Amino acid sequence: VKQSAVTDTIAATVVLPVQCVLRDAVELKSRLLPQLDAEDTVQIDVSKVERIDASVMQVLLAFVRDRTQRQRQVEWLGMNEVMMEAARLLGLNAELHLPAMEAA
Amino acid sequence: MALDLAQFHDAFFEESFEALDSMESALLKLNIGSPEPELINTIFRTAHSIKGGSATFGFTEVASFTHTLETLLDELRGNRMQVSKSIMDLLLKTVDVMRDMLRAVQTKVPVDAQRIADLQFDLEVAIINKSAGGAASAATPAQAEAITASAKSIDEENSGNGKSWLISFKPYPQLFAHGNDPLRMLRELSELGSMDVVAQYSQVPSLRDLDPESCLLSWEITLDSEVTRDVIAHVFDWAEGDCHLDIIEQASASATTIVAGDEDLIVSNVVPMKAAGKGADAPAEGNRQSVGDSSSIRVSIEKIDELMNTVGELVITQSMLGQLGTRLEGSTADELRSGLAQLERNVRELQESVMRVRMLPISFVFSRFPRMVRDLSHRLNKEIELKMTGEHTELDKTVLEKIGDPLIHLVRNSVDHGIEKPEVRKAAGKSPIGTVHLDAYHKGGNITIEVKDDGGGMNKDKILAKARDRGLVNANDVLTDEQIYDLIFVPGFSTADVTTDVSGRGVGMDVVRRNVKELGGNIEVRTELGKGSRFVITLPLTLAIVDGQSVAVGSETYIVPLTAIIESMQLKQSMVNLVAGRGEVFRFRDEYLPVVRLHQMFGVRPRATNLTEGLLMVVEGEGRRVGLFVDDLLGQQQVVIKSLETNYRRVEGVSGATILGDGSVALILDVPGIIRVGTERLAA
Repeated sequence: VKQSAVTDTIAATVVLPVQCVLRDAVELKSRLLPQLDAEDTVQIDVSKVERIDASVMQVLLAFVRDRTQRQRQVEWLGMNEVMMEAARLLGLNAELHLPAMEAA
Repeated sequence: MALDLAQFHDAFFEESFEALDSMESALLKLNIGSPEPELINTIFRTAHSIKGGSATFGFTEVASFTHTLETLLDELRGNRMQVSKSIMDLLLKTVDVMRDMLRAVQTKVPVDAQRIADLQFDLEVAIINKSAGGAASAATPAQAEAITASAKSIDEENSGNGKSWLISFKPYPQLFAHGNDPLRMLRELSELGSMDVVAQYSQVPSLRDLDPESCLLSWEITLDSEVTRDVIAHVFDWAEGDCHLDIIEQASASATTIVAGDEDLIVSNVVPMKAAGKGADAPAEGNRQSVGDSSSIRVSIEKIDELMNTVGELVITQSMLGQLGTRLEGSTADELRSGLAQLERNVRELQESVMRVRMLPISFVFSRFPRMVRDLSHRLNKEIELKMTGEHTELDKTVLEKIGDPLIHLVRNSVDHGIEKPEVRKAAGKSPIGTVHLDAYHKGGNITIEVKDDGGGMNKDKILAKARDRGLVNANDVLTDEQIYDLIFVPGFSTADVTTDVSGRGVGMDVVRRNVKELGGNIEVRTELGKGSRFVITLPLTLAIVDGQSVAVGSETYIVPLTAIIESMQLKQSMVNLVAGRGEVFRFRDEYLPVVRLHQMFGVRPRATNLTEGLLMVVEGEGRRVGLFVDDLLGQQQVVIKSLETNYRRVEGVSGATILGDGSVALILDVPGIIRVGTERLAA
């Protein structure tokens, strides 16, 4: 899992919507599923996110963990305070391999 | 309904010691300068789990100390601090101290408070130095003073307060669907005080299997706050019925006595900018793994031994029934026999399964070596790389426990006497970095463990001279290379030029061999001067069962372990000779081997006394071969070993006993012992 937006071939960029709550979690899962086995880096763009809840974080967690197990890259784009705070409060920072704010 | 936490103490200590072991091995794997983030995470999680457990059980000193360690690890994790050699040393020392603290708590003896305080101080200094932008690990006197002063003032401020809560929040899957968001609750909670969150996500399946509407995460939260229980519970009001919630008040932080107030100092003074997120990013899966995977359970070894014993009895009963079955006749006898054959298969499978339960990877023993080699090589000013392969090779727990000490001895010897100092190595045209290689693998029905080094090897002439000097060998004896190297296993022999405090006190190799022998194994050494040494230990996979050949002597049955048997043969008179001082010998593949008559050794009346009438079984032990004279071979079978020592007493030449299918007892021969006793008698 990479921590900043650089290099490598990109398989896809999944852009998270402004609102990321329970009803979006199902849709997010279906968008992330096809990217699970992608050989190239999958980018997750969180720059627009203004609200996120634990259900979406859980989906992201499962995705990042699966990719890591397959030794595939995930890259966070547009890391912002909303996302950082959610990860921190939920204790998921390390497992999500979130970059530090300044690196975003 | 007070819960007696003491009942969990044993498990906590056991798990904590294991966690410290894994923390130590992770530390040793860290690359100075460019550490693997995942390794630091693993170390952090381990420390965190010990801290949590200690706090829960009220071991405040351990919790406080670990908290300081955790703060430092968090700095490393956040790349705000570099992993330097001095930090590594500090962290390793911390592991040692934590081990001692836990042991002290476990055995209820006082801890060396000064040592702990000193180390905790060093940890804090390291953290402060990082904040000050300094890279050195020791504080300047001014800094030290500042720390002490602020520690005091904060201690004074905090005296009498500092409540800490341990909150276990385990949502049920429907929590999301009922409109609850744990994030909101945790956010509210964080506003009540300083919070430390550990997420448990082992229940979260792969994305493919995940139902996004089910909440499968759960959290363990430590909240340092003056609020009451009700205030905390209020945060979770909406989740009532949708979660399992435990709120436990922990021992007061100010009750911590080691270096009072120090942990507050670190949290509030040194790293204020990260106070809000302190520990919030602590993942917990590794946590759980280190304290026992959810897919495994802890079972005491006694229970497994009991099971093993019962299975052993079952094997005997099955064998009895089998024999009975062969004697039966009639229409139902065939059916019975086929049923018995099925039973035999099942029993064998059961036995193998139970055996597998007792098997553990040898990494349990290997894991202590990285630290040991590191410390020893520092002390001896040597550069040594430790290579380990085959750590996953499994062997019986009993064997595993007993092989630890001999291996430690061998590794120490390699580090101390084997590997030369860097300048000596360079002068000899070798890399200044020596290598010690531990390898384990299965070979036949045995496990082989090798300890190799690319050091100076052993000097044959020196060994021989020393052995002659000590009267271990006669001046005129001509020995083969193998026999000469074998001398290092003779009691009282040490090859070290200088006796160091690491090894070379003249005790050791004989003890190593004795221990290995007691396990039914063997040890050999191969060495080449200037190139290094290789110790090869061969061990049985288990001590509980042996594949044996049963032989008859008179009315007795004996079991000879299959691994010791080379060949069985019928002698012709022309092959037998009488040699003065060696008794009867016979010709076997270009050499003459002594004959050991089992009936004489055990005082049994045999059916045959003439060598040509019975059978000769060529057996090997400790590199020597003899022919065992027996009446007849009966059959091969796996037998369950029962200790003769436990039930009777130790008998030379016998390694144990077993119960045969007909209920009679047969002795299992200890072939090296038989050879020893047999040849001594002949020589006498």
